[in-house]
Amino acid sequence: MGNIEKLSGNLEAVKTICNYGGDTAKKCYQCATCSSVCPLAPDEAPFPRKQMLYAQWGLQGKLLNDPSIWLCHQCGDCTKYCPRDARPGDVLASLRLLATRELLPFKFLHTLYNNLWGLPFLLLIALLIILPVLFLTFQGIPNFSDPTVFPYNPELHYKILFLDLPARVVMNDIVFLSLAIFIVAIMVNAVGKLWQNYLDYYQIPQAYRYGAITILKNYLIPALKEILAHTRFEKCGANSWRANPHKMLLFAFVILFITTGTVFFLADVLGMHTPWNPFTHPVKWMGNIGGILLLYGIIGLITGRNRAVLENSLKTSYSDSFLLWLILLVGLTGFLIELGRIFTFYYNYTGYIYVAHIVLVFMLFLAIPYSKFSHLVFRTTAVIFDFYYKDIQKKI
Amino acid sequence: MEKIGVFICTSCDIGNRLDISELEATAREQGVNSVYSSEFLCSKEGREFINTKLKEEGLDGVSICACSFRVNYDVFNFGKVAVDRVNLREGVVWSRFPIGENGEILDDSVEVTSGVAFKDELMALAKDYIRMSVAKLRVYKLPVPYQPEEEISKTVLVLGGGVAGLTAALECAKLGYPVILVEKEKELGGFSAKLKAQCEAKYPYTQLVKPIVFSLIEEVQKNDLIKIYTGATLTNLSGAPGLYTAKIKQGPKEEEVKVGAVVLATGFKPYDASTLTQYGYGKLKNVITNIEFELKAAKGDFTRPSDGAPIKSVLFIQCAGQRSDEHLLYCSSYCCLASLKQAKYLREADPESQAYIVYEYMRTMGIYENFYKTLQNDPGVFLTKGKVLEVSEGTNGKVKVVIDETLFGEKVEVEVDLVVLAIGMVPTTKDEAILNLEYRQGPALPELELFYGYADSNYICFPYETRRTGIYAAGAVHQPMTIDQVIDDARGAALKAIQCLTAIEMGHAVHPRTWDFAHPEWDLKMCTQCKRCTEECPFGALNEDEKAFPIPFLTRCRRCGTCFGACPQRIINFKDYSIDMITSMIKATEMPEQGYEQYRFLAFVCENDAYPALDMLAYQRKSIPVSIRVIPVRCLGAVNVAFIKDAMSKGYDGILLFGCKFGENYQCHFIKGSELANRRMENVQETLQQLALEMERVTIDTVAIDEIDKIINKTNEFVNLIKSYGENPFKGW
Repeated sequence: MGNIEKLSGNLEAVKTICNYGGDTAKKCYQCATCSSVCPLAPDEAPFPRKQMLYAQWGLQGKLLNDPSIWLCHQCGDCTKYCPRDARPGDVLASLRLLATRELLPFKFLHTLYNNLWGLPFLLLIALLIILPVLFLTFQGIPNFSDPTVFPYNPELHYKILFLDLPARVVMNDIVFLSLAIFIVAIMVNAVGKLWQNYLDYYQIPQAYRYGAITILKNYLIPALKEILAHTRFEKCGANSWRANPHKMLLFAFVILFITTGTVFFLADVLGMHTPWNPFTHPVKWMGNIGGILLLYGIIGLITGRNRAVLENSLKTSYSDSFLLWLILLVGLTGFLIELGRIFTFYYNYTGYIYVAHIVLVFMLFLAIPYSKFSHLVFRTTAVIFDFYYKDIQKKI
Repeated sequence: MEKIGVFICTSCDIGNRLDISELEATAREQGVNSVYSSEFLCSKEGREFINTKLKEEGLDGVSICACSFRVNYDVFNFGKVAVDRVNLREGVVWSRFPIGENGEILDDSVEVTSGVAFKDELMALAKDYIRMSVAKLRVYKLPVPYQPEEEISKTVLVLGGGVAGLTAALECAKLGYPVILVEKEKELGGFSAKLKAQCEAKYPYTQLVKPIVFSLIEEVQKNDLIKIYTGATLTNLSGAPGLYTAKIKQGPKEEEVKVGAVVLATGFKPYDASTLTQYGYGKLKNVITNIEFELKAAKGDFTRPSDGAPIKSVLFIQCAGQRSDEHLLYCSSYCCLASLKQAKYLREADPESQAYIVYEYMRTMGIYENFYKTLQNDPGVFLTKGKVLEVSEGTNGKVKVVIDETLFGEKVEVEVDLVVLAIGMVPTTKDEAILNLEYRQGPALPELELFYGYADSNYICFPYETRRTGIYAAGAVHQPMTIDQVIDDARGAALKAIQCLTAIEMGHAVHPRTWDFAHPEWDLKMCTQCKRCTEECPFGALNEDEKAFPIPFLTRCRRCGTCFGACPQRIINFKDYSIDMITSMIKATEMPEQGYEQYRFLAFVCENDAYPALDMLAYQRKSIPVSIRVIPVRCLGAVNVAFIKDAMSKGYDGILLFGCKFGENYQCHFIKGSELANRRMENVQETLQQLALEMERVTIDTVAIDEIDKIINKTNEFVNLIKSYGENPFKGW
C-alpha cells in the first residue's frame, strides 16, 4: 500500500499555536489560494497550504522538519487573498515561534521572551548578570551620576597578560563574550538538529549528506549573497515596503558587527581605547553609519507594519512589537551615549543610559535564540538547505 | 363562431412589407362579417375601435392580425368573445427575409423561384395565416369552467407527522383550511424528535438547540382545525383533487374521509448500512452509523460499544455509501452538518476528546456554512479531505482507518475509539406506495428514474409538483434536506395544496396552464377501448371501467392534450382546441400547384419553449424559410397523427415538429409529451416509407427556449433536404 503515515491530532499543540498568534489557522478550508498567490513558494514544494493543515492538526513534528516555514518572509499576500480570513502569513509566523521553542533548551526563556508578563523577568535576568560583573570590575557600586567614574573611569585598568584593559571593557567582555559563547553553543546545536531533521524529512540518501564544511563551502556564500540582496524578500507583493527597511536593518547589523569586531581588535588587543572622536575616527564613521541605518530600518519597519495592520495584510503580535521596540531602544540608547559627549546638558546621566544600553543589548543578544529574531539563524539555515536541496536534486 | 371580424394592424413593419388591401381581400374571401385595418391596434384608440365594431356588428369572434399571442394578451381580451391572434409581426414580417449568399438581407423584390418574387411568397404566408385563423374561429367554442357535481372538499390531507408534515399542517390551518394529519408512529415528531439536538434553524446558524419539532407538535395539538391520527396509515386514496376519498386505518378501525389535496411528507429512511462492509460495519463493533451515534448521544452514552470504555476519539467517514456507483448515487446533503454536530456533542461531553472528519466534499447547506466555520475553529476537530481505503481493528480495541488522497499528500493512518459512518437518506417512497392511489396507472407516484425514488420533479419549473395533480411533496421524501430546508419546503407545499383547491373551485386547470378553463371531452360513442389515453396520460388523470372505457377525472388533468394526440378515433377534443379545428386550418391554406418549385412546409411548434424561441428570433430579426407555416400547439403530445396525414395529403412537402427536450434533464412542461410525440412520429415515418416517401419529410426535433440558432439551422437544413428530395408527389391529388 505504499508509505502510510501514522497521524494523530495534537490538541495541546493546536492550542499552543493559537497562543502564539496562529489562532486563525483553524479557519483554513484548504483551497490553496495562499500557495497560488505566494510569490516565494517554490513549485516543487509550495507553501503555506500544507503548513496550515499541519497547524490545524497540531503536527509539530512535521512543522519542525519543514524548511518552508522559514522560507516564508511574511509578505502577507496569502493573508490578503485568503477567502476565509485564516491569515496564513501570521500563522506561519506563529509556527516559526513554535519551531524556535522546540529547537532550543531552557524553554522558560522562550516563554519570557514571547509574553508581556515575561518582560520584567527578562530585565531582572539581565541586571542579575550584568550588575555583579559591573560591581566586580568597578570594585564596588560606582557613582552612576558621574561619567568619569562610570563608565569612563580612566583610573581603573586591568593588566591581563599583554593587554591593558579599562574596567568597562573588562565588564563588557566578561558579560558578552560568555553570552556569545552560550548563544553560539545552543544555536549550533539547534541548527545541527534542524539540519538533521531536514535531511530525514526529505529522505536525502546517505551519499548526499555532506559534512558541515562542504555545506558551508558550497552553499553558504550563495545563501548569504541572496540574503544580503534580499532577492526573495523583494518578490513580496502585499508588503513589498518591508523589504527595503529590513535590508537596511540587516546591513546595519552587519556594519555594527564589523565595527564591534574592529573595536574589539583595536581597543582590547592593540590598546587603542575608546572613546574616539566621532568626527575624525574612521571606525566611528562606520559605527555611526551602521547606527543611522539601524534607526532608519527599524523606524521604517515599525511605521510600515502599522500601515500593513491597517490594511489587514499583517497582524502585529507581542513577539513582533517586542523585537521591533527592543532594536529601536538599543539604537536610541547607543546614540544617546555618543551624543551626550557633544550635547553635554545630560552628560551626567550617561552612566544610567550606559547601563540601560548594555541591558538592552544583552536582551537583544539573548533574543537571537529565544524570540522571532531566531530567523537570523534559522532562515539562513533554511535558505542554505534550499540551495543544497535544489543542487543535489539535480544530481539525484 | 358565427359572426367573425378580421382586424389587421398596419404598424410595426406590417404595413411596410405587406400589401394590406390584398390581405383584406383574402379575409373577405373567407366570408367573414367585416374586415378592418388600422394603425396600432394595441393602442387605446385601436382597442376602442375593435370594441365599438364588436358591439355595433354583434361579432362573437375576432381575428387580430397583428403581433404574437404571447404579447398584448391583456389588451386583446374582449371578455366572452373568441379571439384568435394572427402573428403577422413576429411570425411574418420580422422573421422571414430573403437572405443573400453572404447572409445579407436582400430586397423583397428578389426572385426566389422562376417568376416568383420573395414578396409573393411573403404575402402567401400572411394570407395563409389569415385563412387559418378564420377557419379556426369557425369551429372555436367558448370554454365552460369545469364544476364537478360532487361538493369540493377543502380539507388538506397531510401524510407524515415530522417537521415537514407538522409545518405543512400548521400553514394550511393558519390560512383556514381544515387538515387531517396522519402519522404512522404512535407519537408525532418523526426522526427529529429522537435527536439529541439540532443545529439552530435561524441566524447565526452556529448553535445547537433543542429540536424545534417539539414546539411544532405543541402548536399542532392546540390547533382545532387539525385532526390528528397517530399510529395510522392511508390505505386507499380514490377520486381526484378536490374530491378525494381517503381511507385511514388506525389500529383495527378504518375510517373514510373526504379531502381535497394531499401533502406527502413521509420523510426518509436511513440507508441500509449492512451493505457497507468495506468500512467494517457489522464486523467491528466500534463502527456505527451516524443514526446510531445520534441515538447513543441522545442517551448521553459516549462509550465504546465493544467494551464500554469512554470514547476519546471519533472519526467520521463522510459520504459513506453515497456518491457511489454501488450504493446511493447522490449526496444526501444533511450528513456533513450532522457529523459536525455530532463532533460538537463529543467535544462538549469531553473537552480533551478528538473528532476527526474525513470528507470528500464538505457541504453544509445554506448559511450552515457558519456552523462549519464554528466547528472548524474548535482545536479538537481535525478535518481532512480524503478517501477511506481500509477500516480494521487497531490496538486496544481501537479502530484503524487508512485514508488516501488526503490533503497531506500521502496515505495516512489514524487510530480512534469509534468510527461513525455518515450514511445517506432513502425516501420512504422508494419501496412503498404510501399513497395507495386508486389510479389506473398504479398506487404509487410514477418513477421518473431521474430522482432516485424521491417524489421530486423539475425543480426550476415545478417545485413541489409530483406527477399526480393535487399531491405535493415536502421534506425528505421530496429531496434530501436539512430541518431548516424542510420548514421552507413544507410551507411551499402547503401553499401549492391551497392553490390547487382554489383552482378547482374556480374551474380552471391546476397547473401549469392556470388560465385554462377548457378541458378535454370524450365522445365515448366512438371509443374503441384502445386504452391509449388512459395509458399515456402523464398525470394518470384517467381510470378505466371494467370494459376499458376511459373514466376521466378532470381535476387531475393538466390540459396537455396528450390524450387528444393519442386518440386514433379522434374523439377527444377541447372546446377551444379540436381535431376538427386543426384539420380545417390545414385545409384552409392555399397549396401551389405541383412543378412550380413553390414548396410548402408545416411546423407544429410547442407553445412552452419552441414558440417563444421563434418570437425571440423575430425580435433579433433573424430569419427562417418563408415556406414554413407554423401552428402553435400546447405540447407536442397534443399533435394527433391525423394532422400529419391531413397535411401530407393536402400537399405539404414536409412537416417539422419542435418540442422540448425529453429523457434525462427533460424540459417538457408535461414531462412525457415530447417523448410520446417522438414515438408517434417514428410510427409515422415507417408509414411514409411504406408509401415510398422519404421518412425525413416528417422530422421532430427538440429545442430549448434560448436555442435560436439551432432553430434557424434546423429549419434551413430541413427545407434544403426536402427540396433535394423534390416536391410531395401527392400534391394536388
